[in-house]
Amino acid sequence: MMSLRLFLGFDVFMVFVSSIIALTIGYYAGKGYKLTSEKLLLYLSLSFSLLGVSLLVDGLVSIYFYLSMFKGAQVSRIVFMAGNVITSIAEVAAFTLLAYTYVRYSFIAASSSFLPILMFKNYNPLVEIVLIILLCYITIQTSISYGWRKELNSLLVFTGFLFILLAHIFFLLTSIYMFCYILAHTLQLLGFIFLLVMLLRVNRR
Amino acid sequence: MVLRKPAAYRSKIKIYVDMLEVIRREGGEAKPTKILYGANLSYDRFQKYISQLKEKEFIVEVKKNDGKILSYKLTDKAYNFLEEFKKVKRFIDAFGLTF
Repeated sequence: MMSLRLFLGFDVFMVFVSSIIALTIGYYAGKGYKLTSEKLLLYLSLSFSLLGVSLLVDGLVSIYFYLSMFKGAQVSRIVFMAGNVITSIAEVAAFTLLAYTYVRYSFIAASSSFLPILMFKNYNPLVEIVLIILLCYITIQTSISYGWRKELNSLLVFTGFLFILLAHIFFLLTSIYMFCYILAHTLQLLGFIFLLVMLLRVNRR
Repeated sequence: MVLRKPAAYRSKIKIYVDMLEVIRREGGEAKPTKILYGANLSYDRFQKYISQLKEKEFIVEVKKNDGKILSYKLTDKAYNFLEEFKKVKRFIDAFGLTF
């Protein structure tokens, strides 16, 4: 429990860093769309921007929660609920759009039987589970892409999404094991760092 | 695993890039026929896209003394565009996507 207390605040920092990375990738894809007018880049830009916004709102709600807690003030349930709803909707929308982008624009397709299995398995309709399903599909696509291309940039994207997927699995387990909360945030941050490294490599001359 | 068929038609941006790449491969200046064949275009489409590239200031005409067009030369703007396009392509490739 002590280690979890020490972690308070650090989770917000990690969420903000992840948010900045997601927004940077969204911005870069938007720049690419402006240059080429290719819709694929618009979808990438929108999905990463939504993801960035979702993480940003998540971070702001956490800050509000911690500040209220330290001041001993009562936490407004409406702020908390609104924050959670915005975060969930934005995140689901972001990963749905990203999965759609892979369905539409992937240069190599996973066996088409993969998607229905993943989409229609009888899970509870919880946000985290939806995200895990969408992320599974995206991670499979990026792993196939890496297997095909054998390039470091593709490996970085695959590893990035794999870590984000693992993060969401641990977010789901947070209600059972509290330590998963720390692990999930750390994995999420690492995932976005892998994507950032890819972006930096891509922009080398 | 299924390899997707390449898109049946080339987008405008791809045609621009193909034409500019032909000129770049020729050392920054190329004759019209070289661009036409190199970018695999019909004469009508070549005329259409070459005038668009001129409008966008990606190329300039090099004329003979009698005013006839001898070749097309890449501008700095075109070199920058190709460089930026290369980065965007690497970015999309990293995600395993294609347009």
